[in-house]
Amino acid sequence: MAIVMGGVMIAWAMGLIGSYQGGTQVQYMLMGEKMQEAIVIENVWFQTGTPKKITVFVRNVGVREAKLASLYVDGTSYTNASWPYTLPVGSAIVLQITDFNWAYGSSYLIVVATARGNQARGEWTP
Amino acid sequence: MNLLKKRRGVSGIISGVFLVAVAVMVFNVLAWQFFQYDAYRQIVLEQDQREWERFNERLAVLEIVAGVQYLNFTVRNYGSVSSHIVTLYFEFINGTKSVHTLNVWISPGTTKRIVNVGPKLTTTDKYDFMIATERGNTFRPSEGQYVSNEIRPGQGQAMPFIFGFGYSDFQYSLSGPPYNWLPAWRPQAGSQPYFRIFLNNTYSQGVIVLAPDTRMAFVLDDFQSSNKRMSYLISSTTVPANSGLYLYFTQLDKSFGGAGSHYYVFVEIFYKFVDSSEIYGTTVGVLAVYTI
Repeated sequence: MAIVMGGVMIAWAMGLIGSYQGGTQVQYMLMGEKMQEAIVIENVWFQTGTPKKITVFVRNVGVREAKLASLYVDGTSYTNASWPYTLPVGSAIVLQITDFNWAYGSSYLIVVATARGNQARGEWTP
Repeated sequence: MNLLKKRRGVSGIISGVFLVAVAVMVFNVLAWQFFQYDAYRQIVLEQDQREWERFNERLAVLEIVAGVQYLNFTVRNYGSVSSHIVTLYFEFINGTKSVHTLNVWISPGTTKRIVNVGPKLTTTDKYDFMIATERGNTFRPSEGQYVSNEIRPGQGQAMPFIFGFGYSDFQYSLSGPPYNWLPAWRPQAGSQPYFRIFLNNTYSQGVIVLAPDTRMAFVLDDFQSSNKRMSYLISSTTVPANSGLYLYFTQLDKSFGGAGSHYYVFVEIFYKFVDSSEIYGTTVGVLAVYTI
């Protein structure tokens, strides 16, 4: 009887440990992937014309492919149906915001976020 | 067989086996967690290394050649890591922008010339540009200043002050404040204008250009002293280190002669350093004008 109960208890404990290990492994994997991903906003162009445009140059400077999920200017999202964009390691992408009525001398906070939660941000003044 | 027949002590063995099993399981879990954390720490260290390299990448854009058809400049790597320059962002003063791919590797402590890149230039173009590296750092020749492709013969003078001989570096105005500045190479005949001249201070400290001893003498090319005209620095002016600004001169003391009068223009400059009372004197290149 004691042997059976002990066996059941060990089986239960192994299941519990396996479940814990699985969750922890996924968490470490996600943290590692997030750490390996890095993007920067390389340049921003404020373009005149009709309509006015903002062009944002983003580069992947990490060692893992990045998935760009959002682009914000002064807190407003400019993400559309063509998002997300996949950005391979070392490559750059050009993001355009059309019809943005920017003004000379004003500063704009531009934030690009990835699906893993990393951000590249900066304040730019035309 | 005797041991199995004896019932006493068996439960102790069984519980001991279970205890060892639990201990092994706990040890395995701790060891596994240690290795997982160690692997994660390794990733963090690699990321720290990449960040360190990114923050220690330092490039300087130097010696931008004027009067060329395509961009021609030097890059010096004064950081501690090799750099891979991958992009050139170019902007004309009129707002026309373009982006160009580069592929230039530069080792720490070395200098590399980058030639014939970017859009086609004319000698009147003014532009700004920026290079970007694979690590995402950007470098530009100077913040907020456009580079001129205009050839300036005065560049390279071993002088305390440099007059750049730009078309608009020497100007006159027929009216006093508010001024209406025009290039002064061919001033209006019979006029009695005001002048200003753009002067670059090559010293690594600020200087004060002194009024009224700093002055311009317009000497008619018959070299008769009675045909001399003078314009004096309005007020002593501080020119910051390694930079330039316009010096403003008073109205000409006597009107220019008729059309076609040729004048040599001697610019006398008296100055002192901001932290000293010792006064120096010099000239910049002798200019020439004729009236129209």
